[in-house]
Amino acid sequence: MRISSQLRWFIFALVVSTSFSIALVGYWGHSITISDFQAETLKKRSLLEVDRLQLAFEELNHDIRFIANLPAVRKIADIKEYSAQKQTARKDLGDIFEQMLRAKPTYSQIRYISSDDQGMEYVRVDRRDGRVLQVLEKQLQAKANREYFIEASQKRPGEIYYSKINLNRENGVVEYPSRPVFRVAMPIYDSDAVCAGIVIINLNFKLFIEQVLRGGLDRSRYEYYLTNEAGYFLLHPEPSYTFGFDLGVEMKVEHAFPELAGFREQDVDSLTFRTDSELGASKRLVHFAKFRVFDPPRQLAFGVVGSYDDIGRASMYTSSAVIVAMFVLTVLASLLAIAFSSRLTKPLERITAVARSLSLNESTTVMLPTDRADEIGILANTFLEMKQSIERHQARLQQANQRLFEMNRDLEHFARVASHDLREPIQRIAGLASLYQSGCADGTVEDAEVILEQLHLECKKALGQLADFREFTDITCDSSLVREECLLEHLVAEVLDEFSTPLQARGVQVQIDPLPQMSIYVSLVRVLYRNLLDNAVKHAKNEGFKLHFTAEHDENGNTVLGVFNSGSSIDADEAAKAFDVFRQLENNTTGHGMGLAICKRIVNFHSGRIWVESSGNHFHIKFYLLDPVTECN
Amino acid sequence: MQLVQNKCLNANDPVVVVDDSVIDLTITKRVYARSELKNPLLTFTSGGAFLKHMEAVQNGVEPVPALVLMDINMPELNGFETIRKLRSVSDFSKIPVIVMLTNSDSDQDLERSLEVGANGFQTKDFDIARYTEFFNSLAAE
Repeated sequence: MRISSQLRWFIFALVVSTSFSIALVGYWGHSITISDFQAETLKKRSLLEVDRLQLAFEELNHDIRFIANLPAVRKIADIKEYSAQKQTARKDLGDIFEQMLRAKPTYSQIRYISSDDQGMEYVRVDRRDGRVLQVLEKQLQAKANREYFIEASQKRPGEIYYSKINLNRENGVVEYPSRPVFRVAMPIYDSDAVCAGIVIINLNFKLFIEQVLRGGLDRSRYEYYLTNEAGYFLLHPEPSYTFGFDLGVEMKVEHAFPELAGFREQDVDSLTFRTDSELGASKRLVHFAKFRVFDPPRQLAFGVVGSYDDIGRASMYTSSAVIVAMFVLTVLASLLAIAFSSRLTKPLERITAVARSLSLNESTTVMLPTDRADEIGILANTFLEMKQSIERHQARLQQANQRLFEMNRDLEHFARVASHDLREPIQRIAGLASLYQSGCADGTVEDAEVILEQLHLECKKALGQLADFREFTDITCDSSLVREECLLEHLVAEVLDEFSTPLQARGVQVQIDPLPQMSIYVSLVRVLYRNLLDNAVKHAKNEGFKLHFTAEHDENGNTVLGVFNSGSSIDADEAAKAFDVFRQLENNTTGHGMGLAICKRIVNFHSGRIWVESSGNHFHIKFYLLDPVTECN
Repeated sequence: MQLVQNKCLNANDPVVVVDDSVIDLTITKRVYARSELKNPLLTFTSGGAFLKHMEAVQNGVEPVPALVLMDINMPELNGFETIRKLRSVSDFSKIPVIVMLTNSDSDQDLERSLEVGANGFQTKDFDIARYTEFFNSLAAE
């Protein structure tokens, strides 16, 4: 995998894991905070409502005690006979009861029931259809057989009777429409400490609860539950469960909330837990608290269930926002990662591309990032130096290879020459000796001299060839040679000076073009011009031939130099071989065919090229020398 | 010896040797004198001189050579060019019999010799005994 990809994946993974961790921790913290907050809120609400309930029950106690201690009540209790005074007290009490009922909307009835006359109601004020009415005397009923009357009458002075909280019954049957009722009563004792009757308040329990919990009856968030000492519901969001025990519905608090099994018996005041909502949409928080009222005490339980769907939705919204933000951040970070890794690795890729092209020996236009100041810049610069060094070595190697090739070619040619050309005079020497030996000579001294003379000539020829070849191989370009700036015109003039005698003798017309100044191996170029001049003088047949030292520019911008002579020519076949070792252009000349081979060798040392152009009656050797781009070793 | 087998040489027709080397000619002449061949020996030192002689042959002034020994490596007209020119004349497209004489024993030269119309190819051998034997073998045909 490329470094850029590795970087991208690494940064991507880092970003994703970081944002995921942050989101997770954030969400977790948020959830815990919300949850704790909800639990706390629920607890506080529960405490508040329980307080209010206890206060309301306490107010009921006060009211019943207040009524029981009214002077009118005392009067009625003490005056046994029917009298105007008792009638007045009765009327007064009726008025007080009426006032009280008006002041207390949750009271549905206040009565004074006499112990005489089978527990006949003596004063009774009712609330009917929202109106408070004193019941007429003839409509009063006897209640001696009612449980509340019996039980309240048996209470000692100052004790309060609390009825069960249940649906009102008429003649033992639950009244319809159902009416939850709670009765609070006190016995009234006369001065003889005999129970003269009871005062009793009927509480419209449904209205009472609604009044007390008025502030909290927010159905959208909270649901309230109230259970009696047996665990039956006095209040339940589901109407059929409220006072269900009176209607045959067996629904206790532990049935509705299995988590509360044993709660009533256990020594705990409250319990908070979560439960699935009915729709299963979200968890609901439940808090139940036990509290005691009345004397003897009754243990009731108040429950509140918080449904935090809206907070859940808000929380979901927050979570969604976090996820979206995380996604956006991830995308942004990934884009940044791609851009950053590209920026970081692009120069590396460039170096890689150049390295690859170098290894494949291909040319490339990719630029190395050498202008950078960081490690990549150092790497690029080092790599560039390495590349240039390799190229320099390569060029040297090529040059050495070329030289080796030339030398090898020379060697091959020499082998051929040794086996053929050099053999020729030796063969002849052998032939002449053999001739003399085998008696082919006529035996005269003259003949022997002729043969000896010919032997001598052939020996000279063989020695001459060997000397030439040695001269050729001696032309080398070792480290002792250095290029020097030289004006070629001066050099040519010097060489011409050496040939002044034969040139003048043959009446040669010499012409010299303006020749440039060049950086050359001066001693070698002198030999080059000397050989070219020698070649021209040897091959030009006629007297007064034309000799021209030329200089022109070719299409590549090289200065092409040359030596032109009239009076000799060469065909194309021969021209190609003209620079081979021992290649005599014409056998009847005095040389041994090494001059032009030496010229070629010198031109090669200057990384140049030499060739012949010839047509008609002229012969033009051209060459060019290159500047020291690569110095020979 | 790669000489194409000849008919018996007519004793009156000359044997011609073309070679630019005077020394080679000297050796050849002396060896020839010792051989069994009695044909007159004609020598030329260049292809041009030989072609001029052949013009005289064509005109009937001179007899057709029985055998031509031709050196390859000569200035101006070399052996190959001389033979090519000679064979291009219709009278000499088949005769005379020509043997290339050379210092070289390269296959390239042998091929080129046959290509230009030579009948045989002989490397110069200046071992006198073997050289004499070569001429004798021609006589024995």
